[in-house]
Formats: sequence, C-alpha cells, structure tokens
Amino acid sequence: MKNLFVSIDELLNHISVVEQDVGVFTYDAFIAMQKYIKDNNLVVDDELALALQSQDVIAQQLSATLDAINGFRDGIEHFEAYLATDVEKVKHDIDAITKKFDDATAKAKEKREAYLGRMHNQDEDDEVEFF
Amino acid sequence: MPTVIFIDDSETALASTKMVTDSMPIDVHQYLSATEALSAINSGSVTPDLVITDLNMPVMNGFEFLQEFRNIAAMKRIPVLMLTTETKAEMKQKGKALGLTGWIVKPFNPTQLKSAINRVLRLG
Repeated sequence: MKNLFVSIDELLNHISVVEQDVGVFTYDAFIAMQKYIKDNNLVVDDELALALQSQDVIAQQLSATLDAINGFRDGIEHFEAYLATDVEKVKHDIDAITKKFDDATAKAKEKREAYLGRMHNQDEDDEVEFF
Repeated sequence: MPTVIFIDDSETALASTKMVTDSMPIDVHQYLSATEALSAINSGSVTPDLVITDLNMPVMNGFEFLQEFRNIAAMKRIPVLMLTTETKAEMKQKGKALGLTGWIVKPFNPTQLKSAINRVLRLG
C-alpha cells in the first residue's frame, strides 16, 4: 500500500510543479504585454483589459487547486506515517482521512466558483453595483 | 488631485488597474496587502479620497480591512469599493452592512471602472 501512496504523491507533486510553471509563464506573458502596451502607448480597451486580467484569474484558480493538492499530500503523509507505525490506527482513521480529502476537494471547487468572477458571463450587466 | 488607494495581493491586478487609470486626474497609491495600506494611512503618509480593494487576500481580507478602516475617525465617510471576482449576493450584503460604497466584479471593464471612480469622486 505504501508504494501506492508514493505513486499518488509523485503524481500530485508533478501536477503541483506544472501548475507553478503555468503561473510563472502567465506572469511572464503579462509582463511582456504590459511592456508592449507601454512601449507603443496603447490604450487599454475592453479586450486588452480582459486579456491582462486573465493572468490574475488564472493565478487565483491555480492557487486554489494547489491548496487542495497540498491538503491531499499532507493527508497522505500522515497516512503513511501511521501505516509504518500503527496499522490499527490506519483502519480507525481512514474515514477521517477520507473526509479530509473530500473537504480539500470541496474547498477547491468552492474557490473555483468564487475566483471566476465575470470570466464566463462578461455580457451580464452585473459588473458595478453601488449601495 | 484626489488620492485613490488600490489594494490587491496580485501584482498583475494592480498593474492592470494602474494602466487603465493612468490617464485619469487622480493620484494612485498601490499596496500589495491591506495591512501595508492601513500602516500608510495610520502613519499619515497617504490620505485617501477613495479606496478600491480586493476581497480575497491573505493575512487581512477586504472585509477585515474595511472594518479597520472605518474605525479610523477620519476615514468613516471615505468611499470604499470592492474590486473582486466574488459575485455572491450574501457577500455583497455583508460588504454593504460593513459600510462598503460599491462592488465591482473582476475582470473589470475599463470604461466602467473609470466611470465608477468618476462617480464616487464626482469628477467631470
């Protein structure tokens, strides 16, 4: 069973590294766009503003997924430690660890919704609201 | 020239708002955290006429900032706009109850952002 967890952890680690790379690439793309706009005195119109802000949304989405991945990896680490020392405790705690995994996934899904903003509904007239 | 404070933990989000508001007759100050902004306000190094803050930020979120900000006697009536990806009605209600002036959903439209700033600051 330990090998199984090592494999899962390796995959999660790989996904985590790829996501961090994507974050860096999108940041670099933003900086290049920003320089191009400045060098050419371009006006930031609606389309350009959306493109510029996509990096922020991407970064937030990635951070939410990375939080979930880190939650899973912590759970696996604890599980492996129990497995090495106390098999009975593993049996007892399996429900608790499963719940921890489910909670991490639910939180990531919730953040996905919370961090999307108007990305999927830019035509809707709900952008600005005064109280 | 009115002073506008932008608070966002995203460097690129701040850069985007800066590019959009560069042509406006406002003095822009940007902070990567709400605590940094509060320190600047409390020390008197900046006195805002408007604050535009993100909601989801580490250490101190936009609501927590708003509560602290409203506790500063001179800042009780200074308008605060939330600029966030959050769209839930209950979150907007919470902001309203805390004394928020308005809510702008990201990604923002440049024309509407500038129009919101003009409206709040009563600029031309």
